[in-house]
Amino acid sequence: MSNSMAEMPDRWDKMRLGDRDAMLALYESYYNDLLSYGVQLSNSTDIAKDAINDVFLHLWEHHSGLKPVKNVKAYLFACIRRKIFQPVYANKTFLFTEEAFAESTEISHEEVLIAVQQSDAIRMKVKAALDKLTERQKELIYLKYFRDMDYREIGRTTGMSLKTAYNTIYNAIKILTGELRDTLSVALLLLFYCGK
Amino acid sequence: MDHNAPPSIEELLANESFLKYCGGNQHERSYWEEQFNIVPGLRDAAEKAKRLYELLRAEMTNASTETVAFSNMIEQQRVEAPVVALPAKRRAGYWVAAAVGSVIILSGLWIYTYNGNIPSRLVQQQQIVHERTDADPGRNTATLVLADGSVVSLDSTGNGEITRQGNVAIVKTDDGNILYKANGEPVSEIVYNTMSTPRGGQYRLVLPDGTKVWLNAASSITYPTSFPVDERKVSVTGEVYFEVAALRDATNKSRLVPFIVKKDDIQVQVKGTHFNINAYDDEDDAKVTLLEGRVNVSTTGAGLTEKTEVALLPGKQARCGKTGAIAVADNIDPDEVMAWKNGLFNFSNADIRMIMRQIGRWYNLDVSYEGTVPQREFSGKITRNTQLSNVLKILEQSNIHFRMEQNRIVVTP
Repeated sequence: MSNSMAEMPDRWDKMRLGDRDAMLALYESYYNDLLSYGVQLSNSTDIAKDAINDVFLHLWEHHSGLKPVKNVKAYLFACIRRKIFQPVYANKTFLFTEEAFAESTEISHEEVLIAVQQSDAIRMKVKAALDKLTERQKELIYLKYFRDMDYREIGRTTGMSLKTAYNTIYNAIKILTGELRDTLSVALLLLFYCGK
Repeated sequence: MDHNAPPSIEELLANESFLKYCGGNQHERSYWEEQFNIVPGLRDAAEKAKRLYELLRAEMTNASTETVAFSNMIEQQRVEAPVVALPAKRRAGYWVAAAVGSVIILSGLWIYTYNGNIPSRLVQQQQIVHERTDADPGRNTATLVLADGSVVSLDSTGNGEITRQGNVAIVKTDDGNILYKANGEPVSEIVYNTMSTPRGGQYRLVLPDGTKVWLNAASSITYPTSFPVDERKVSVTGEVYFEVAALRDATNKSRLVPFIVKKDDIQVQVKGTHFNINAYDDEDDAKVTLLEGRVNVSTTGAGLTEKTEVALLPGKQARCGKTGAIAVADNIDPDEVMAWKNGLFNFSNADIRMIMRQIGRWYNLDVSYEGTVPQREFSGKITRNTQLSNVLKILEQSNIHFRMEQNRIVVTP
């Protein structure tokens, strides 16, 4: 990404003045970091995406009342966290314990900074794990989990047999699971992210 | 599945049924929730698998595409207009997510199998003689008619900007969605586009206000490329599902900008909500089903001297007869109504003609009948993403028979 982090407070200030492009630039720059964090909290890409849009709509709607911030990223992380732990999202989550939502939603600035670091570290691990895959495996992972294709469609798209497609996915997931074993434990993440 | 040991994460994530569960499929969900209680260790493995699934999806999400969609959505809000509520996002790739031939029994007539194979016993019984024996399922295909009358075929178009109309760019995203991207300057003239799907096609579209639209087969929607500030009006044919973005009026913030869907004499007026309209000309009633929010359905049919109007609550369905009369049904199954969008045929107590109309639309075939048409009612689900022969095999188990001609299925006793 060509945007340096130093530009972000500048963009924030432009957004406060009503600069739509600056707001969109912030949105785009932080999108994947925020999405990853949101998914780590909610275990749902859909919820995380909704939360990001809600947060940015709210910021944009109230742009003239916003205060300057030094650490834009940490501020946005805190917003996403608050949004996801709002009760309205609670009943939409999947495989997520009730206790998680009973937790207090407010955490200190230091805890937010730690959350940013830990979330980014997990995102880096996911990226590094994906980099262990062959191009073919990556392509199939994309078709299967992002484009939601079934094996038949994957076969039609890539010219693979159903069995080869299945085996390629299976082996790729095996590699990813091996790389990310420590990262997939939900209990561990709750410990980190609920401010306990 | 070996019921003694929990499956590994890779076994789960390679399993179509588990992925449908991850995607929010209600039926798969109850199946897996049940399994969690039966198979020791399964819940833990499933949590990890789901987590990996979501982390991968997040990492593969393209920030630029999302930014265009978001920009598009706020464009319609104008700078000061606050937003009331976001449409809750439905899984975008839903309708391509259906597993290979997974079939679900409800009434004992149809056969259930998870791994998607039609049991061999069925295949052996299958001895019909005909020339053309199969048809591919429908796919994502549509055409777009622009304001100047030019026609764009959306399956042969590459991704990215398709064309530009005034200040508005029409963009095809990587995942095959069409959206309208305004450059922020005021639009001088309102022009209309029409998206239509053929039989055997379906497509998705994001309107200029951020409203999401799903078109079923043989359907269309006509809409302005930029909505006027005080009203959003579109017209449809066939079957269309809407997730309407809630918009506040820029000058009067207490007012929500109405969103109006028209089909001939039927008008559905909404604010921000999720609903489905099924208004195929070959179906008896036009049906408007509300999933969330609130809509008003009105008709001005030929049989009426004045407008008939009903306010619909979530989970209810307005049935508009040809005369313009509206009946409200409250015993509907939303999963059944929305099955098409989620990649399924789903029938409960449906007669064969109704089933065949849906099959004809999806497999691009005409349907005719020979002899006595069975009066029985049928229930069951089957993925839409399967060859016609698989669907017919299952129906044949219920003692209905078929013969295929060139572009026609003949139903025989």
